[in-house]
Amino acid sequence: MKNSHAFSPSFHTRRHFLRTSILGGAVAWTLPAFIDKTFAALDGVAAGSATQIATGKDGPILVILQLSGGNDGLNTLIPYADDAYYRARPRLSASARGVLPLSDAVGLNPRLSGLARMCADGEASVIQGVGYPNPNRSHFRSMEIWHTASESEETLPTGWLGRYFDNCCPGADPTVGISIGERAPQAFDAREPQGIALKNPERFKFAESGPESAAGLVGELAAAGQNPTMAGDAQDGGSIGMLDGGLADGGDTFAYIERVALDARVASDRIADVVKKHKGGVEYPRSAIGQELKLVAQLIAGGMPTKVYYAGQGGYDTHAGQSGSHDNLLGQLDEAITAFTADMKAQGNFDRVVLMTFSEFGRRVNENASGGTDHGAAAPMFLIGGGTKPGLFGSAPSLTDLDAGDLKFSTDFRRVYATVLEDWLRAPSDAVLGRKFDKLTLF
Amino acid sequence: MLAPLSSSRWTPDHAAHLLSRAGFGGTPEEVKACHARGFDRFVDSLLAGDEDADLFPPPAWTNDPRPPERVARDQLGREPTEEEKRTIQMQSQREDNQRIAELRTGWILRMRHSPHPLREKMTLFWHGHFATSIRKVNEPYLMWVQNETLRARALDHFGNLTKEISRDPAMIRWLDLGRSDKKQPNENFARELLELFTLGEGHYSEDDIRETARAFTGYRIRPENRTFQFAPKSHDRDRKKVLGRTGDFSGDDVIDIILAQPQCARFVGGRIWEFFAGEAPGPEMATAVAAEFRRHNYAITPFLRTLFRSEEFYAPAVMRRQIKSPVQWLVQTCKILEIDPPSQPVLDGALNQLGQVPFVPPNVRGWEGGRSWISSSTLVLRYNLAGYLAGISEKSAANLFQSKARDLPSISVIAPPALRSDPSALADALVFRLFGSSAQPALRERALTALRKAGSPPDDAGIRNVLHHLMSTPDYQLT
Repeated sequence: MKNSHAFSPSFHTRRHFLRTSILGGAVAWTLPAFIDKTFAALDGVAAGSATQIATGKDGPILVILQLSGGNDGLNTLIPYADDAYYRARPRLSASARGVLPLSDAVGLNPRLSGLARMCADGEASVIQGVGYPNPNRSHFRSMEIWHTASESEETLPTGWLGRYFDNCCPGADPTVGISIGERAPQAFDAREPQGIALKNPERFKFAESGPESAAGLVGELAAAGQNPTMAGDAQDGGSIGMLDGGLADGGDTFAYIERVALDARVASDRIADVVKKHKGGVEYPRSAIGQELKLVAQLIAGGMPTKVYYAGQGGYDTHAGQSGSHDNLLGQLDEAITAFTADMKAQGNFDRVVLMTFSEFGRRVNENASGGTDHGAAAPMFLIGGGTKPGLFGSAPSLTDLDAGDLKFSTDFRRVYATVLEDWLRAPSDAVLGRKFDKLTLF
Repeated sequence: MLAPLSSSRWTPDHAAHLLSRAGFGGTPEEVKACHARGFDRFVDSLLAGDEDADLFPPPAWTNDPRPPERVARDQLGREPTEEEKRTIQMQSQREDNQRIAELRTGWILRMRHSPHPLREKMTLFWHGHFATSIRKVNEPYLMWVQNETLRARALDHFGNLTKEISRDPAMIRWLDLGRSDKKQPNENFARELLELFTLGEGHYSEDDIRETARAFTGYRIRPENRTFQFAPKSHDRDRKKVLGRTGDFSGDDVIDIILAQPQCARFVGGRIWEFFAGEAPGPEMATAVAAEFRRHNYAITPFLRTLFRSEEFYAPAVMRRQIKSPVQWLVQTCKILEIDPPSQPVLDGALNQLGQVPFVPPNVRGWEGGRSWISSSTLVLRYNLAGYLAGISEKSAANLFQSKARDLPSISVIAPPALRSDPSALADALVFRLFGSSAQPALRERALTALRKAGSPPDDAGIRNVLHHLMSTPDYQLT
């Protein structure tokens, strides 16, 4: 038979590849068809910047870790000295046994021992009582508010990180934001670039005709399909696994797909290459979140020009039987973060990486009849990294002065965003958030 | 009111569009046969379908509602030792995994071959609407029961379906109804009922949720046979105030109260329109769709007949502008290439990586759909998978064929030898097969260029490459 490679002109470098395609030269026709003449017309800017050598060796990096489902803040940062806590949670307060005190009022869940150590070593900080006015208790709407940094009653078409990419990283290539997963979060929604999403870097590569690629693909798919319940992504806590948020619908669908194809083309070879070269020497837990953070660490080690990474852990919607499952989720989280921190130190990147956690809301103060908790409002956030100022920020919410059974927030989440933008990413926050917010002293 | 499309404007492109949206597409011959039936008759036959239950019998294990772990313990007849417990647990876990994979493979196969494709399509819609995942339900048997309920009611009546789903054991476990009692009602189901299943966010108050939760107290799963059981002692019989109405409402009463809200028809009708038309309706369209849904008293079949016959359903902004869901992409590709879907575990791996695993929706809102199906990651996989399904690379294909991991397209059917010497006719045939449309000059040009490079006349391997090439386009992601 005829070998399809026989009529595929080979191109040795991306630069050459881009030049030939921009000039309308011949490209391998068996490759995906988006690469022909639409390329130049579509995006000269991205094509130009894609030929730049990655220089991601010194700039600050933000890693966002989304806890989906509504993490129970009160059993994460436990107000162990407050009688009201034990009264509201006769069963769930069992988690306070062995609490790891951060002050004489609050302490971390015993499963967060790694995080407690980081707090003690001045490598992590806790912001208490974070939320927003008129809290929404829908997972989806509240997550959208966090992703777009909107007011409670307002709908914004772009995400807060997308606006950061648009305003502060013009001409950057699509890997300015990388989300680990099947798709980019709503927070990345932007005019351009929108960042890219990937789950398995080995598979993130266009297969040309050839036995190896097809056999490789089918082998990887078979491996991915070994567990038909897809239990790799923890969800034992409830009906919320990961939440990605919606994507804006503006513009033409066809152009949108072309755009994504182009971004993938620009990024895929480099990412596959980086991941192959940087295996890392630190052992990560087998959990989904552990593996996600491992991939983030590999990409950081490879010097990707990425400013924001996005990872997540689901399963926090603990309406029933919370006591074991929530502690386990925190344990998984803690192991993953601990490995990631050790890795960053080993790489020499700990001082330029900050990891920030958030969840769409906390949970109700009183436990319910099913040994769980229903949707609530304010909750703590964590910041981890060599560049953070250690300590407890914001004020702990009162357990008795409540808003319809829920904690009142003391720190607007957009103040945290503003601080991260200005003092960590060195970006003007008002251009991203629409107005100035009072900063905290987090860095 | 939606305007009906005049039957005089019914073309093969329209037939391909309807067959793809209301089902999972078909071969060029099937499309032409549907067109030949005539517009009204084809719509009616889609809605009526043919009975397919005999073709797809349920797995034998569905005869016993007990989970494998229970069965093993019952067989033992005494309290197991610690070691026996571990063994039983491991074996049951394996058995459960196999069962859910079997359900999924069976369902995909049913979508591929069913003579009632609309019912499968609508079952898939309801699975996304009342999204429930094995990952909390844990018992494949319960997922099977729910799937059967969704299928039986798929084209029936939204009110009946919602009431039945509120009593569905998988749903009871999924949204924590089983432990909700009058002393401390659990709000999980009540919230999602209002927010996701019927009215949409912002059309109820937090008080409505609390009161609704009270009405659904006492819903239980009968332990011995896994059916619904009402526990009167746990049910709150007192007065409730829901959406402005006051009374000692039951769960069914609350569903009736919700259905009486015009917003319910607007929300659910809009979701159905979006599922079939590809875009959420604008305000005017939403009003028209809601009016039709209410006019038909939430009966689904006549509502769908109105949608499928409407001029709006064939508007340029609707046709060929919907991003295929992963399930749609996979099943339709199999129909187009006239092959069977890959078998487990390749099938599960592909669905997982493409972002849509039936019985494992990402959360209770189901799959976001639309543009969220396409990310850099999933698009790369779609392009690569297209090559795999088209059978590029003979060597590995032969290996895989032996291992029964996949079926290979018969290239002599897709590109008959007689057509190979006529590139122009062959290009037309391939474009119509893959894209369900005859008027696509850009794609036709692309097909012609590819065919020229594939040799003259092109051999089978060349044709496979042309198929891969044409499927690795933004156009192929759309229907």
